[in-house]
Amino acid sequence: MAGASDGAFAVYFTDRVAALRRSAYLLTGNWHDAEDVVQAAFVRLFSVWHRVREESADAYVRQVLVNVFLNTKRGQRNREYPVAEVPDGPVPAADAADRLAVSRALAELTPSQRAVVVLRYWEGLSVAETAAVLGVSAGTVKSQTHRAVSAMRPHLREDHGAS
Amino acid sequence: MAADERDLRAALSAALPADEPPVGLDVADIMRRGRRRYRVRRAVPIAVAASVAAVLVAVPLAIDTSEPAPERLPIGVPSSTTPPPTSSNSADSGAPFRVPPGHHRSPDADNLAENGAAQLPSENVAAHFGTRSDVKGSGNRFGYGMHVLWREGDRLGYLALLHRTSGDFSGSEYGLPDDPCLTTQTRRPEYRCVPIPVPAGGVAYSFEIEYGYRVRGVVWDQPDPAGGADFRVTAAFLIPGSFGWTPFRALDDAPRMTDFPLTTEELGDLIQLPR
Repeated sequence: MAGASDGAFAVYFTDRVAALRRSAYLLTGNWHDAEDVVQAAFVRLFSVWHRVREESADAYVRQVLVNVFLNTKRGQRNREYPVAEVPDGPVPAADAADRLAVSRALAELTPSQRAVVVLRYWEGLSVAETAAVLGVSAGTVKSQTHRAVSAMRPHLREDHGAS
Repeated sequence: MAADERDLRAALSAALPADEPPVGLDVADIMRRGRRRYRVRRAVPIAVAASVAAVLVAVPLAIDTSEPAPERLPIGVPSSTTPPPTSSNSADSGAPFRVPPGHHRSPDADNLAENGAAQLPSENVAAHFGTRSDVKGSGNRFGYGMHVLWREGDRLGYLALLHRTSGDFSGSEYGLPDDPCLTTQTRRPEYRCVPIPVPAGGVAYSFEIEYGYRVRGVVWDQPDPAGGADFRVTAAFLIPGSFGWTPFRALDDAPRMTDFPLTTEELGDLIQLPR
């Protein structure tokens, strides 16, 4: 539980933390919760690090990340979060509109649908891989994807300008 | 859908603020918390784990005996030699673990089971344990097994890994047939045997059997490096029929088991352990 594996874990952490935090942001909607989720995922990964093969670490930590998110989000839909700092000035209008539209669309999804969207379209996982992460059948992933995309499409086409 | 995928990817990218704050996580703190979690998880009182395991073992076994098995296929082996597990063939109804007759708990097999448990949906693993047989037959042979019980929602999973599944080490002790698919006699259509490649050598088959509950697994012969009889190793998921055929996540993307969460090296360590 110590020694050379600590160094390997530290390297893995450095390589992966930023990307995982972005995925967690898309799931949670704010950086504070995203870091909490990512921290929990890395703590669990480290507790089994000596048994996890390096090539399976990504899959493991991704699975824990999503499970932690889903566990903490159940019953907490559409919560508002305080922010540490309020921006001094306006952000560029186009970016703000895009972000607002997508954030609103994501926030209206159920946590499970959000997880499916992030895993499928942000992480780029296949249906089968997404099903494995979420512990559901491939059919469930497909139906969740269909519902999520259907719910998001009007927002995206109206506000984001996607064709 | 392709356009949707591109749009969604672009939209998600746009949803990330350009002014991303620096990461505030400390890897040293994470490792400290991870070590504490590791120690706590190892120190969970055995009595607690044992009581959970007893419930998990009892439930599927009780259901297997109480429910008819309308879809049970003939397996071509007399039922008296290969019964599904029942509460009556449980070694000791008062014992926390279902150790087959002639077997005892083994620290080495426990370690292997722990390894396997770590690679299953770990948050829901209720118990894992390993057994080793007394010497049986000629040549001081022994049998070996590891078991993992886990829960996903209202479903129960049972992962077994057995070394030797025939003769003095009958798979029926664990609710499995003897050497499914490995011989012409046991390569039965109802076992749905499919050959699969084994990088480490030997011959392997996936199998899928209705035993009133669904058994899906891999069995393979591994040549004994010391000569003598080949090893027969079986890895199997047993899924209680009462819960229907709803795959566990470990099976969702594997129509047949062509991979196993343990390395062949670990399996080799298991079956070559000195007595």
